[in-house]
Amino acid sequence: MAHQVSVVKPGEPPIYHHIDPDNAYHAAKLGMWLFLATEILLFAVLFAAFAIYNWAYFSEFQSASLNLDWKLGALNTAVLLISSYTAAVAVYKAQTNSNKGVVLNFGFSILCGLIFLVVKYIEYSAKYEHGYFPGTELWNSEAFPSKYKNYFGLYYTMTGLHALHVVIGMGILSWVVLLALRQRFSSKYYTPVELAALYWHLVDLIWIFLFPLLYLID
Amino acid sequence: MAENIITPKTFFKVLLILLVLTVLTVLLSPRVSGDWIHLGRASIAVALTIAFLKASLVLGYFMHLKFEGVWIWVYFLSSVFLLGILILGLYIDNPMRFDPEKPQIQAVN
Repeated sequence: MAHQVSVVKPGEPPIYHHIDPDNAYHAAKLGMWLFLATEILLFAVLFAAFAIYNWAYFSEFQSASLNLDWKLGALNTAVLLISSYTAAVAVYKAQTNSNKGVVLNFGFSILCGLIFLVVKYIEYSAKYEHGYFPGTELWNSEAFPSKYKNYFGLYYTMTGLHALHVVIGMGILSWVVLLALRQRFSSKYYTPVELAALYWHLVDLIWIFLFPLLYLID
Repeated sequence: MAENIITPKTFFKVLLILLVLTVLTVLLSPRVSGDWIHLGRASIAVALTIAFLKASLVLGYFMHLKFEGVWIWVYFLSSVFLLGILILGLYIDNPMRFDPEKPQIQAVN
């Protein structure tokens, strides 16, 4: 059998022998939405766990949540919303044949992701200094209420898993930026730009629920 | 391939609404602003309603869902449906849960 060499022309969709470019685009997008559905359910169980414990230990959760800084949470909400906006604009830029636009807009989204992580680091280290972090002296002492451990355990799990998604999202956006630098996209082919943006929006979507539930409700 | 292109102008309007809703949810939070309109326990419902509104905007415009075909809606709604079952189950199960610290059946001596 002859070795198949795939030639990818800038701006043209990849050539598959079993599927035409239009079908490939729709199949890829459908697959992405199936993945997003599983992501929604992954976070759904964590929200459910939070609801159950919030119900059971209402007053402890109330006082524990007062240790979170709502200003930093609100700042991060704004940062993610703006990064989602530029990610959406990047898709438009690809659809209108501007690879430079993809690089600039996704680049800005990656920068916002970095700002988000820095703010998250400031929040986590403040918790660490106050001793509200697994392994600190206060956390391990008898004086530390066990129900606070429940609250902060859920807080770190939910925001930590979300932050992991931010890191992965930054990686995916960087990969698309590299492709855009090689003039890979055009109005004929922008599937990776759109799917990467979808992933980034999902990260934003989850934070939209995390912010009020963790920082604002009492 | 481009079917329904949403322009940056629309995206910017959506972003502005999202930021306004974020400010609104902070202003209505009893913890941040004091309960100045006396929401009480309803504050959770208000915060979640605003969050659902924001999520709908992100899904509908940023994620193009408003212009997608039936199959993407089937995939998306199936996850929402399962999420709904989970929440419904929680709200039925949780109030009926037996709390060992508060026995509901008194021992008869």
